Amino acid sequence: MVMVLPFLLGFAAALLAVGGRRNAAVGLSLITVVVQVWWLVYHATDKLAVSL
Amino acid sequence: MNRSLDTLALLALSAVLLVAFYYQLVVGELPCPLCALQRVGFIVAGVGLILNLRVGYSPAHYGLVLLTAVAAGSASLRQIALHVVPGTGHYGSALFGFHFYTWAFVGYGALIAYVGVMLLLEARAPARDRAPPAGPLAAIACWLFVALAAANVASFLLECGFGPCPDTPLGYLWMPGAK
Repeated sequence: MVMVLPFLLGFAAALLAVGGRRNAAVGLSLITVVVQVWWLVYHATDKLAVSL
Repeated sequence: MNRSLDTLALLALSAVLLVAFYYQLVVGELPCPLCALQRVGFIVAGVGLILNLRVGYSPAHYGLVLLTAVAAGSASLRQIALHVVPGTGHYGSALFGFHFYTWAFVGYGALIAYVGVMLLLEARAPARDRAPPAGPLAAIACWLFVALAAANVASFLLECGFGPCPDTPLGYLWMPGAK
């Protein structure tokens, strides 16, 4: 899993938001949340029982 | 008034990210994977507030804040649960007696409550309150937040490169020897 991916997406969404590109910012933010949730589920269900 | 409250809320989110950087860069406590997910949540919440400040109010912007607060709040709850049993240890320092994942959970709860209050206020606000604010403070808050989001990208690239972050990070992958 690329840990930096949600940060890249969030940063890009923030830039789009500051630039007034509403739909693109909202879309990219939603994608970021999906990546966030996917990563959390992956982390919580990892068979190695990662500690953090 | 409502956009002024959003500006203050955005500055508060920036303060959260700044405190996180302080403990990372000055105290030397690198963020773990779950910590990263919680930081992402604050960043996406900030995007929702920036949208209110730059293009004007929309309930969809608050919807973004709510969604990410629930998602990242779940990450905080996960990390609390991993350490709530006595003897299971903790991650990082405590601030006023609570670890940062606990404070993050409180913060996300506060964000959810904030959105609830703001939606109630917006229902009674005149139309002029829904437009983007004209003053410089909102612009400063927005650009400060964007800068902090960029700093987080750089930080996690240095710490983890293009791969997964270690559970207990001890240093920066792309800056060996730095702490």
